[in-house]
Amino acid sequence: LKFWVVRFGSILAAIAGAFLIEFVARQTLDDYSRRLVVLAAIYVTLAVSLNLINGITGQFSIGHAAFYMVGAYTSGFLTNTFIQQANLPPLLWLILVCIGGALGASIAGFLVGLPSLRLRGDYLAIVTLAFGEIVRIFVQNSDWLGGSYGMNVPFNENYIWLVWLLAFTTIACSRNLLQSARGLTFLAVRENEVAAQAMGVPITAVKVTAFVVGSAFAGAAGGMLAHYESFITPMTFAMDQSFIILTMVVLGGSGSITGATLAAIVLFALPEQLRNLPPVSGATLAAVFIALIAAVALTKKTESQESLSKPERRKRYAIYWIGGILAGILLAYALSIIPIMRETTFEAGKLRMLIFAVTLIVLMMLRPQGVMAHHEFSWAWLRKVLKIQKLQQRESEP
Amino acid sequence: MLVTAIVLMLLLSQLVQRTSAGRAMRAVAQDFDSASLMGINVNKIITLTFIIGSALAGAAAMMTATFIGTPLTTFVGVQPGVKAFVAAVLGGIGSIPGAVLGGLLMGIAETMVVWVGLSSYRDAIALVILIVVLLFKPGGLLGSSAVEKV
Repeated sequence: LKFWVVRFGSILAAIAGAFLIEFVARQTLDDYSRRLVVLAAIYVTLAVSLNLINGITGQFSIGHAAFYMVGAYTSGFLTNTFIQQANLPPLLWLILVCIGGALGASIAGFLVGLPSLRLRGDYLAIVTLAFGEIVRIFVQNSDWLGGSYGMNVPFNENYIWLVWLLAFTTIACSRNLLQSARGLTFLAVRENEVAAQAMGVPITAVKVTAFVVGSAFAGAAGGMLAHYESFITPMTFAMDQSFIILTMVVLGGSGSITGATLAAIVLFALPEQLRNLPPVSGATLAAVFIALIAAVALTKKTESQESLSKPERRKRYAIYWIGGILAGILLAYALSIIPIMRETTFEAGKLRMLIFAVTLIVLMMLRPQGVMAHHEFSWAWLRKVLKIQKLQQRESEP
Repeated sequence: MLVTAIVLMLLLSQLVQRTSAGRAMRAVAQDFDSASLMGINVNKIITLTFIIGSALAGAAAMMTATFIGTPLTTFVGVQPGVKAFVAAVLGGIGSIPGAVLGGLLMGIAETMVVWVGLSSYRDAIALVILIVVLLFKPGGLLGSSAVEKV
């Protein structure tokens, strides 16, 4: 009984959460921020679905934007062709069309998943990349899909809650998959293919399933995007989209659903927030970089010294980072004595991708396994982390 | 330009096949841990390969810049970077003749497509060839598709 209570409770909580987000977004935010809320949900869906292929099954795919694109164009095409005849209520139509997009994308996923049976590592990655580019070039040259001008999707309603509900569904599906015996076979394929095969795991079926399910969710996200924006072009789904989604998965810790979700939101929000920074002078910029490099180098050095105890190591990290910040401020003042450093200014809006990239490099150097590593958020996990910290405090006190 | 490319290619294959640094590189590629047990400084070798690879990319960039004809932008390296990766995989990763063959095949295929008149599909055709080749020869054209042993 408890099982069903928990299950229905979480379904209701997800729906309530989606409506809450819709309500808050409608009441407090302007159009621009509301669009960001929708896009964040789409990115969460994409990252979690790529995590299923990339993190959980271990098939290195860098063509996720292709599935996203197939979904968007399939649903857009359906709306363009049939919305006049169908005459359904818009909500029902949107759901149907997104399912259509998901189906289209899952067929594409099946097509890519099939060759992946024979390929691994770099070779699979390059095939997925190639598939993504081929799809984009094909669409760009098909006039009946709008070609490189893009495609209009005549649809004017927008439902923020539906997009978030899709994101929640994706998270729930991959979590439940991981809890089941079938999910364990996915993990087995990631850890060691040969051993998994020896234990009787159908590797072929598992890989293709991962591709089909992952791309179906990406396709649904594409459908949502097409109908929210009402306009899609092939360049919306260029190669760098795939890379951004991949970055989200890797940064969050590949294999961790929580990590993918958090990283998707943060990595999507960060470049948007950085647009509004005030311009910085060359001196500040140089000081920040020097301090950052010094702090990272010292941290890495301490990491490799194995004789130190844990509290000692923590203390050193704290000293390095606080010292780094102070030294950076001092250095910034010192450097602004040099006139050329003081007078050249950089617009932060233009530097934002640089800041983004530097953040990524620093994070990956300090924590190569991703922010969440293999952990998932759960109450038990949180309790464990807190307990460990309390124990450590008690140890260090006397 | 052709002479430069050929000379660089020969130099690189001599370096990889004949020198001790080259042998160390191949050892690291084969097995990380065993290589370090054999007294190879793995970090140093990786740094060295990055230095050599970037230097060669720089040489290629100089050659490109002399005939590209359009003003250089910061995005000039994106397409060649991806295509280089595709060419290396097409020929088989880890094989220098393979990379040369892959690059030549891709270049010829692209030019042929433009000649036939489908210039808008220029970037796609090399990728289609790549997928077809990998379907039949998963290790690339000249690469060895090693069977994984337990």
